[in-house]
Amino acid sequence: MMMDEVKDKIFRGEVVTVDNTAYINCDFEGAALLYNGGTLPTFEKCQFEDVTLQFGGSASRTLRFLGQLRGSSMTGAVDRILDGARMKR
Amino acid sequence: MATIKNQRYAGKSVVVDGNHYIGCAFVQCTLIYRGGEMPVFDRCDFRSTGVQLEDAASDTIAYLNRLYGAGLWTNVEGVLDNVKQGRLAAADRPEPCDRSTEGTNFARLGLAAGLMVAVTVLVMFFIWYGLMYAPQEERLNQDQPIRVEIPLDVMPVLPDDLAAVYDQTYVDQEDFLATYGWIDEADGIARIPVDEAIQRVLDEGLPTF
Repeated sequence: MMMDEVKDKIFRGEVVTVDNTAYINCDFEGAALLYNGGTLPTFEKCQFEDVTLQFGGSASRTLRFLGQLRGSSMTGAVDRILDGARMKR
Repeated sequence: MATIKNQRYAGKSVVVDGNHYIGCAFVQCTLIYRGGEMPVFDRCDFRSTGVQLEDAASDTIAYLNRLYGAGLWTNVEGVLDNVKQGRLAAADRPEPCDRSTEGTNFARLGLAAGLMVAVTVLVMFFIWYGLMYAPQEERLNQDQPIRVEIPLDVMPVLPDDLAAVYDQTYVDQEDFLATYGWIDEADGIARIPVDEAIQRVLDEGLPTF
């Protein structure tokens, strides 16, 4: 699937759905980044200030699934997955 | 959602999207989640079992990793912390269910039922009062039977020779019933003696108009 490309744009105080978009030299000021589990967005030379993260669709379900499992004696397995978010790739 | 009860899985990779597991046991298994409909685990037992994300679920962790690398590590740590604590931000919570199409709002149902009962009772009360209680109350209050008083000047006057008048009236009516005559000559409507009319009905049946 071809990704959308957004260049040199300033997003101020709005909710930005980031799925399937390549952001180049964009500024996000007080914006909410909403990810629904679609094609991974890319951020190249972008600036972020006071942004919040929001999740919908598959992404939201994934986080809830992990939270549910962690509460049911699968802490170690879930924590290993969550650590993957911090690892350098 | 498929319901799976009392199943034991051993050494298997189980795709769990959209399934409701009740009383199941997972021993040395790998639970695979792909980001689809949330699975539900009721009274399930997990032993030496791992988790593996695929497709959109895997992309979610990759997205967090990408944000981490882009400098949003504080935000990402906040998300991870919320997951560990079982907290979801307002934007991440599932959408509230449409109460108009799902389930039964018993409170509203009870209110509607109570209102209908109250209206019915009120209507029945007014009917009973109008038909039964009010007339009875009037009769009891007056201590006399209900009567209608007619002014003297509209009462019929009876003749002094009432018997003779009655006899003549009887003769006139007998004659009327036993003879031919016009009811409405212009429209051609006549009368026939009642005995002849009775015989005609017996012979020919009731007339159809």
